[in-house]
Amino acid sequence: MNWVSYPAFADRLLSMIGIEVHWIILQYILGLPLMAVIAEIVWLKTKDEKWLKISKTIAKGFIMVFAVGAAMGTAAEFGLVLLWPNLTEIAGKYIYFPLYAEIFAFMMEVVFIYMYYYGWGRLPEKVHVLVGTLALIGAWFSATMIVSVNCYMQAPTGILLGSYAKSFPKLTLYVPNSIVSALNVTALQLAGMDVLGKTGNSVIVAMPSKIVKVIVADAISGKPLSKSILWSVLTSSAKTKLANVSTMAILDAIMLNTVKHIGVYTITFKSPVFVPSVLHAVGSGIVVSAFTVMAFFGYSAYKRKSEHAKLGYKYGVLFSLVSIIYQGFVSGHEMGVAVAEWNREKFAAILYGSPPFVEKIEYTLAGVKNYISYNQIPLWLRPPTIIHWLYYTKITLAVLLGLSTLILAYFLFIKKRYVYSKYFLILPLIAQLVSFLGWAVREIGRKPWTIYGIMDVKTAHTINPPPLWVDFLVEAYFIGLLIVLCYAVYRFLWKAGEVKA
Amino acid sequence: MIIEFLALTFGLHILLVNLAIGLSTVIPLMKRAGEKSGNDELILTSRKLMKFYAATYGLGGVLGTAFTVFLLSFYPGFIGLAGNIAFVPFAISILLICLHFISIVVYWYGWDRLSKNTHFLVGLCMMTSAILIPLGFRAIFGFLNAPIGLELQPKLHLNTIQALMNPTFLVLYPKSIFASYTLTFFILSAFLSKNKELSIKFAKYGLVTLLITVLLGVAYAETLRVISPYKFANALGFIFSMHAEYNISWLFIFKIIFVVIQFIAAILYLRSRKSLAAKVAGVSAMISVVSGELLNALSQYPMLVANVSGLPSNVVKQLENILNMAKPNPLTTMNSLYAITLAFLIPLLICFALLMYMVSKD
Repeated sequence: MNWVSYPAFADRLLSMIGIEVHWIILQYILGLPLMAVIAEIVWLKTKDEKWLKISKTIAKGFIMVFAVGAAMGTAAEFGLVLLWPNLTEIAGKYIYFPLYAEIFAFMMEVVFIYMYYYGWGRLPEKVHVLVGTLALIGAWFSATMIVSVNCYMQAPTGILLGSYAKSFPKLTLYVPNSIVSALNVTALQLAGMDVLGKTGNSVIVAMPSKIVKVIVADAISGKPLSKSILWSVLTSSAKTKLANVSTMAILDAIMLNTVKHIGVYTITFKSPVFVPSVLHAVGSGIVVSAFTVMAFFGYSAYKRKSEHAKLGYKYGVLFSLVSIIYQGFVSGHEMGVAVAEWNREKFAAILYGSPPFVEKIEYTLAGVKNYISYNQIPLWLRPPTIIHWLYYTKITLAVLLGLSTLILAYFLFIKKRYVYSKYFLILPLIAQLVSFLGWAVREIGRKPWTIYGIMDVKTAHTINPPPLWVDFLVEAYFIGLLIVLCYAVYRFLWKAGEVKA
Repeated sequence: MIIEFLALTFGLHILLVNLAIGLSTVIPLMKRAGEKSGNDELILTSRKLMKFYAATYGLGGVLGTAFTVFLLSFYPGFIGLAGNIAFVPFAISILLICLHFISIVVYWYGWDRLSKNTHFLVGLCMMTSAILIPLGFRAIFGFLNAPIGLELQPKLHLNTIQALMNPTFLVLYPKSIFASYTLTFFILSAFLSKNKELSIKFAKYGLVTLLITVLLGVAYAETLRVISPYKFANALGFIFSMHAEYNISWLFIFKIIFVVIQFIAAILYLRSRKSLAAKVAGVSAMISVVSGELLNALSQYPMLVANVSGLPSNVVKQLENILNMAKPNPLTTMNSLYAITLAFLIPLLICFALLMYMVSKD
């Protein structure tokens, strides 16, 4: 299916650009503090001033971009509120905690990142390292919270997969007894609902997503029960009492009860794709940062032949090598396994059009035996096939990055030769592109859902979308800001090449 | 505790953003004046202020985000409704925040690296964006006073032009800007008390903007009396013996006391040149701005939109729960959440105070 043909294409594109600009910048906040703090620790151990200079230069880099990244984060947040207000409302109601906790992470970043910068020479050395570590923890804490919400959107806690013929996917719900008594359970079972068990105050059911998404859409659009899909499964006595009750009230009662049973504070962290997603997202930030540091110091050494730049380059190459191996073989592999297991439609779309032996290899690597092909997926569940091309472009570029780092490391550490070309400046751009493509596969591949199995794109969308020209202007504005920021970094940090902290 | 958390984050946010609007205006103009007159001390002072601003503006932003996320968690239905109808006012503010942040970065790192004229232009961009950011947010506040511009046909939407013509917004926006200047001028007057000439100048500016703010405050109260009487009665209806559902007039009296104190302290400072008077004026300005904002926000309690009398009764009934501050998200009313919030907030605010101390010590 064509990516453009899903609802609200223009606003999806605007969200994609806004979030991507934020993501381009914030990856440096995930990786650069780690590299700066390690360099500072090495300086404390060796007292080699070159390491101090490396640490300060890296710190200046993330200080410069942090504020704009934060502002773009605010823009992304408001973008979600304004373009996808119904998603935001549902998230605020049922899975608010990680968003709430992220505020404290954000505050940690703001306080400790600036304290790290302004504390140089003012704080005792070990305290300064501690402050840098707290800034890093703040950044990773922040990423973990946001990614957990995204994980719930990819594979919500309680999602059950199985045969499409038996109405899967289904969502585990804890329906309060008071509501169960108003429902015609037999009719719901005929529609594919399974009763899984009971608790003191509720019945645990597996509700087909095709029903859940209509209930959510009815609730969001303000329908009373008499006009909702639930009307057909109410008992006749309930119909006389509840006709004017809002569908939202019923949805709230079921979802709030479900969240309480699963865990108000932990529900998003129990998403089956949570751990690999966090490892992969943070890894991506480290890879992009490492390649940027390598290119910066390499360029600096190439231009000025300074010893600290050569050491910084070595540091960058080593970090790039280690991080890309981790990203490819550890977190990337785990991510792939999780996608194959929990995002079956997405995985099938990724492999759509691949030769059968490639399909077989991918599923074998992921450890999945009973897999589906794209054409077996019902039409209403099919993701866009563009992710096939995005994924393989990403993999090709990632392999190229890995090989180029391996070659550089070979010359640097085995042959003891310093090799650099100004064309290496393209490497961090490729790393950014790989990261973008990975994220695009994840997000585009979730369509037609906004929250898998719960809310589709149309339901999440605002009832008052901006006109196309506004979308276009805002996109141009975001890209313009990114260009200005890149120029500022180039002019005040890259070109200057020296630290004036 | 929910209202207390909202008040704390909002109060601190307001304090920092008021300072941000003032500093964004003073810094580039002061530097330019120094360059034109060859006064190096002005340039140096401007740089010191910029260093302070560059280190602290982020927290003002973060507290604004915190306030929004708290609102989203406690009142998700309200944020959902606002998101569906208020694209233009929010977009104005958000796009300007992005511009403001990048202009701060370029202005700070471009110091002595850009030509003087280019640097000044960036400074003007920093100043203009700071002044315009509240435009969208204040339009929302105006809407919360009375939902002027809300139209139900052919579907629920906001008529932006009408919303921007809301009388409470038209007065509240300039009042906010002048209040920011008053706060900044009095704080700078106290902060720079070693440089008597500059300090006195800021005290004089502060007095002028304070008078304008007070006049605009009276006009704002009058617009509230006319189009948002519920809110007016809660805030200061006691003067007119009006019945108040949620009487918060003590906060109004508190605010007025500090307005009077800053006025007297500023006059005393101009006469006696004693720096203590300047400090009293600065601190009073901070207290009066924060208390004024809290008065404005809380006087419509428990309603998030103060006056819904112009809406059809079925719509009001439908929005009843969404717009009621006394009915927060049931998942957020646990004591453990408040404990978690305090456990994070208190040490982080202490660390922030330490950061401010470190930066201002130079």
